[in-house]
Amino acid sequence: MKYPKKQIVTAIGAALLTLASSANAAPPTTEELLKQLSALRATVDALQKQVKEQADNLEKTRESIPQGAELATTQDVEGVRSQLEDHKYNTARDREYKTALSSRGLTIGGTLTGSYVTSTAPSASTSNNPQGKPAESGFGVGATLSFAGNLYKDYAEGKNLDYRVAFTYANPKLANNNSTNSPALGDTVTRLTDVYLQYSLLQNLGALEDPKLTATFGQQKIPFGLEGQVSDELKPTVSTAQFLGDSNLKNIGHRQIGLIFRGDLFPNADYGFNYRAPLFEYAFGVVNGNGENTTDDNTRKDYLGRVTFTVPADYNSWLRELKFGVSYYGGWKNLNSTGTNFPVQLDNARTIRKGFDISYNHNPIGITYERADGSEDDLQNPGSLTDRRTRRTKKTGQVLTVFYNFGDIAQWSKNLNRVGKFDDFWPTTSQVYYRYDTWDPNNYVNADRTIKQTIGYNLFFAETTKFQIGLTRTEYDRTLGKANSTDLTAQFQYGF
Amino acid sequence: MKKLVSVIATALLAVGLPLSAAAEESPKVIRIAFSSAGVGGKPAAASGLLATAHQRGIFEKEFAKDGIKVEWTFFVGAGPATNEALALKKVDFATQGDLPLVFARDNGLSTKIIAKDSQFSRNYVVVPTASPIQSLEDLKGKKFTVQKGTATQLTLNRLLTQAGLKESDLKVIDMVSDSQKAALSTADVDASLQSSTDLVSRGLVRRIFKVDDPKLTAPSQIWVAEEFETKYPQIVQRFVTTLIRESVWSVDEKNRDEQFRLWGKTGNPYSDYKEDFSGSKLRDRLNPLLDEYYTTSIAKSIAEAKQFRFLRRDVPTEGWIEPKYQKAALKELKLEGFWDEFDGEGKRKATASAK
Repeated sequence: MKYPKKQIVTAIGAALLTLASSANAAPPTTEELLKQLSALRATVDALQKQVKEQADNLEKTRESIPQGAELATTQDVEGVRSQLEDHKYNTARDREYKTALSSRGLTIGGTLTGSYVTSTAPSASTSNNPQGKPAESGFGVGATLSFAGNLYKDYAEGKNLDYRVAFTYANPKLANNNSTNSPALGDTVTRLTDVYLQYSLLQNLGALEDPKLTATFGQQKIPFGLEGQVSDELKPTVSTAQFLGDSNLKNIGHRQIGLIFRGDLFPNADYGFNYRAPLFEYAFGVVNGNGENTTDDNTRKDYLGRVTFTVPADYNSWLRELKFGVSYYGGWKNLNSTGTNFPVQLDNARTIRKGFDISYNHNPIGITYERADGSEDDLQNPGSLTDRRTRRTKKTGQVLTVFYNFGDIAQWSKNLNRVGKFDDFWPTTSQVYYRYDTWDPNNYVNADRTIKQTIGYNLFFAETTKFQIGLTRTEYDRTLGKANSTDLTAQFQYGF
Repeated sequence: MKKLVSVIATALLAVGLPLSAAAEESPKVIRIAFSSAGVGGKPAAASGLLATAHQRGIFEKEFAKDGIKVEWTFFVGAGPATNEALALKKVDFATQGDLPLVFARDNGLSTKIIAKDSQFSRNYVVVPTASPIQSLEDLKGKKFTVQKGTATQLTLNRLLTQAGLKESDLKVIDMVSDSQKAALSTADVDASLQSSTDLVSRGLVRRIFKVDDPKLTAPSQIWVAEEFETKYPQIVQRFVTTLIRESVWSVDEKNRDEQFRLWGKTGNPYSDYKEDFSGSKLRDRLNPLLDEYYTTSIAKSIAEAKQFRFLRRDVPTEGWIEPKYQKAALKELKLEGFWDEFDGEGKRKATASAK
């Protein structure tokens, strides 16, 4: 039982008064005195117990306070409260005046590129090279800007709806090495690249063992082979393979507008390494077929599909990341004769692309090989106003790339580049590579191939920043009538 | 031109292939990894002998005289990240929990276990404060977050077995430590295994089960990559001797508070360690001996990992545990018998004298 101080004082006072009053009256009996003494003793015991409890509590409180720690006073607490209010005010104010806001979650990203290109091949363009000198060189810049985020977040199953919008600016030299050397006005403009919505059709809560399936609608890269869609993890070169060039297998080198499903099956989940490798990946879809930023030019749609198989292997096996892929793109194109009066117009000319690729991405070694075959219908006699006969041309491009990483070799590892550091640490990775790239524009014609060999060096020295340098030797078969050339490209790319 | 291309290619490859340099007597750098990082990715670790060794800079002092640099890495991705680093030959020494260590062995990665880092750890099953969950049995069908591939996942499976459940009875969501705390705070998950007190003291979670039975937990260990050990055995010996010598400071009860304050550099509160180690002798928890408890425990972990279908093959233990460096260090430092040995059940051996 606890006695409040006031009550204790009252009780002792009452006891003393009783003793005092009894002194004036008849002397108390021994029995009465013993009773009073007993009551006093009980009060004193209770008081002693209470004091002991308070002392114990105080000791416990002291024990819970770290050595050397100081107790906060009311003034201290008021000070913290005041600073907290200041912080809340500043945060609210900064959010209103100094923060970019969006109606939904938004990530802004992009790259800036500065490059220098020198080539022994003269430009055919009078605007680039008005005097037609035998060699040219120049600086170039490029930039990309992207906005991506989430439109609907499914916390229960992760069936999210995401979006992405991206733009690019590039001068003709930087767009890719397949750009013509004769820039037209339209070449140096900002173009819309990605515009799409993506929905996860299957549960996607990050479990490595769950299969994935997404539907992507809009303008997007198409799932054909490696060159057109892989990141720098598998493509060390500045330029892309020749077969993706505008005058080659154009439709697989461009983004397309349509609906594409991408997914995987039977993922091999190795939690011991936080590693996921699906046994099969697949993609299929339907697109307009005539490229980006334009409406469909016919009533037919193009169809595409891709399947890959990854050799099942443990993370530490030498077979890790050995993948085989096949791709197909079946499309239609319009053919017009060159005449002006009632020209021949066909919309059922076929344009077929078939691809086969192998990749072995076994850090620090990487090897990729890709072959793309195209067949294309063209009018046999395009100058004729009546001749509707077509002929089919077959084309083939092949590219082999070998690269070797050294240094921290953690550029593409989500494990190794997530480490605790106080500064803006990023592991440094260097890479050397060699590429052999051939293009045969007509399999029925001999000696019309173009061969490009490139050696290069890449340095990844920050999360989004890299330096690349590559030396390319281009050799033309004799029937092409072109002089062989050598190009050197050096470029810095900064991401944000 | 072809010649020029080939000359440059050779030069570039030469730049990239200096890695097969001739064997040296001493390495230029010793790379030590923690399978953890502090709050928000702070480069600090806690609760083990190696963590204190890092904070006190003992290896830097030991190897500076030979010009050998010591590099520390703190993997946010925990044990699985350390495994990738080992596979890519990017780490020489590391501390890890049992499950990722067993995964590494299962995958053919070669290590030698040279010391225990800590043992008899404590954990709690926590749930958001307003959750109706009261017991382990109530977890059935609930969202439980754990970082898969870590020792905590194996502890969870042992716990569930005790409660008559299995992992597939729960919706287990894979998250790293910081994400687990964030998800618990917002009640986006129903439960987790946590040792930290910060969410408890903020009233965001409550504890429903204490995990401190040595049969439910397992020691963490320190290993050396076998390739490094073969190449530099004298460096391994110096590493172990230095660690054991400095461990005497770690287990001195006079240094309890100072050590907890060093561990507080992880961003976890001092009170976490004070509570975690309350009622335990430092010398028992921070015990480097590869004793019967350790050998039994690692064999049990392998068997359980197989039972819970985390492993596809048997994992051999022959030659894996290498006590020779530890024995030599204890002898040299005259510390034989300084630490008590524990039996397979985690009980102090009768021959040991309580210190």
